[in-house]
Amino acid sequence: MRRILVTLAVVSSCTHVAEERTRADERIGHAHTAAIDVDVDDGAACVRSIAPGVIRLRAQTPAPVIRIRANAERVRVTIDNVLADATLSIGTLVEDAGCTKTWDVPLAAGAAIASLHTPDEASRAPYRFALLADVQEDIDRVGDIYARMNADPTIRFVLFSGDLTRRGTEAELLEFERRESELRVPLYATLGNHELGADEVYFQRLFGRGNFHFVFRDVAFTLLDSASATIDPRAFGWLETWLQRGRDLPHVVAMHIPPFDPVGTRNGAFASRAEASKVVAALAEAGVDLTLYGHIHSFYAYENAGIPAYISGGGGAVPERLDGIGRNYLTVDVDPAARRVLGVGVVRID
Amino acid sequence: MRTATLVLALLLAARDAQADDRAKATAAAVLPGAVVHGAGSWVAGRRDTARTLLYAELVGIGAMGAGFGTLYASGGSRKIAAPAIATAIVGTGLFVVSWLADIEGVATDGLGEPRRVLPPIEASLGVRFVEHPAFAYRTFVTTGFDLRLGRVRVSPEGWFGAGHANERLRLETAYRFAGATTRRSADGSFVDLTLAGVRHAFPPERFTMSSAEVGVSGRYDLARIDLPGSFVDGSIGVAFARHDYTGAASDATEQLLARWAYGVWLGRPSSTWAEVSAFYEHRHDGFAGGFVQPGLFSGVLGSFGGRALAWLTEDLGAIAEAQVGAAIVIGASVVVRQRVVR
Repeated sequence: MRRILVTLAVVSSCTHVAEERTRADERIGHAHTAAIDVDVDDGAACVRSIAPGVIRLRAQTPAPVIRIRANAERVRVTIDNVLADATLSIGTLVEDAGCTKTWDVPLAAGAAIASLHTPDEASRAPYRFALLADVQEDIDRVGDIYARMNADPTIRFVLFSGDLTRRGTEAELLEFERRESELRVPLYATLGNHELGADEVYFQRLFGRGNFHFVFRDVAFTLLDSASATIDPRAFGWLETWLQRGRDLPHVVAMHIPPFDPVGTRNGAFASRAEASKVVAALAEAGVDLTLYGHIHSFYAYENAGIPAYISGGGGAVPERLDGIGRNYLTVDVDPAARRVLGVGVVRID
Repeated sequence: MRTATLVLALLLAARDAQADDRAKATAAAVLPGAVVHGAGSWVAGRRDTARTLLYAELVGIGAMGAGFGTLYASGGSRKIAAPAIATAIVGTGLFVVSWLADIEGVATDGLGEPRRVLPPIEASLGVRFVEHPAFAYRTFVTTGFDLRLGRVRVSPEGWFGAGHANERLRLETAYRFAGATTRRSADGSFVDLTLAGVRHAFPPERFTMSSAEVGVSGRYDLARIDLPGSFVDGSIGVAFARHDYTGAASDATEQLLARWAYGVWLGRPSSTWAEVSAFYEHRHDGFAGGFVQPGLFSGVLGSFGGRALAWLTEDLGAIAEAQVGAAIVIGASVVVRQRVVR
């Protein structure tokens, strides 16, 4: 019996298709060289480059905490994808290009802890964020969508629930990032199945974690890597912790492939319906307020386990026909004081 | 003595020539048979069989093209996705089995015969091991039986967690329009209308999945196209499911059911006999779930597997099964049956 179970466990490694990515998640935000060490709490930013006296990060949440140790008195820290009004807790701003900022950070005894802050971080007033997914091969037209988002001054940031690119190559992701500079707010992205078509998962190297969690102005956000139509068990363990942390806050959960396809016979959803039920049961038990998905190139509003669910895969990839929808993104209004999601709107581009 | 030696030499030469012919036909079935299905049968001189297999391949390619093409062109439209996926599955099944049937047919000339009459009662007791990354359960005791009353079959089945609370109960009933029952049929082909109900409880995870299913399933004995000893299975249907969560609202959903298989019989049903098949199962709510892989495409495909049923005596048999999807399922059962009146 024991031999059978061991054999089964070995053979079953082929079903742990997202395990490598969750292990890579754990390494994100940490870089160590002979001259300088960087550690970002919870992997909330990825280290894009590191050299003596110079660090470049890409933030994946509004307020990452960065720990620096170096044999130097100062370090120049550039952070991409920050809120335009963000400030660093220490250091002097030396360059400001909107969502990319550079600070000169002094080190006391060769170390510093720097954290990003925004002027409204203590505010409990309602605010808005947007959700976009599935740009894929339509990267040349994504500027239309960013222009519409830029025209709405109430959007604080964008969540992106996967499929930034067609195949997830380094060149495609860099092109996505280049176009992203047209957006006036940061974009916090998890990956989709179309980021898995290259020889390695460049998304994590360039954009950061597939599974992450943050709280902004008393609203909890959890983004999950469901790009392989499953949640890796390790990521599910993280999810359980994050659900506990967000239990007393409005909690928004986003991922690329939805647990359930509202058109069940199509199954653009998790590979296992039992696992899908396990995930939504956990979300419902923790009182999650809103679930947001991509993958299906249309717009759907439905419920899973009583939680409002929206699919917006309208970033420009081959659209679902006969639905009269076209390219779209969502706007979500949240009210931290009232501890609820005020509403979800769909913005049609074409 | 010299004459006998000459006869023996001629017989051995004929057997060698036959073996050579079979090897050539088998090689032709593999390549160019992978492209032109039926090539092996053509080389073996079974021209009608070869043509039928080629037509099956062409219909399969057409159905795959129509199904996948419709899905792509419509962007997976909610209005036509189900028939497009069903067409693609049927097409893929035709494409795969028409190739496998050619290879096996010319390589063996058939190794067995179908059961033409079925026992009124067959019962099984077994164990299954499930390795699903998302669930802690592993071992199940399984039991079930087939009760046949004329054309009607009633088949309850249960999977009971060993050392855990997961439990799946299924009750299937079927009406056989054509094919073997407790009365003798001409060959192994059959057509059934099936109705089923399933209840799968996950107490530790605090949810239950229930479904009602309707479908048509059938088997085509390939002896009808001069490939004795092999068969093709196919089924199509729909399930209406409900997922109940403790302390939360329920979800209602539906599911496309589709399955195809290719198999062979080994031996004669009157003695030691076996039925071995490889299959594609589209359902996503079983223990195996749908197929996952590290690249672009996970979620839409169902699972793949193999099954063997062997009768070792008149009364006693065994089943071995393996299936790979989001989970790996393997196991075996002991089967007993009421003796068949031949």
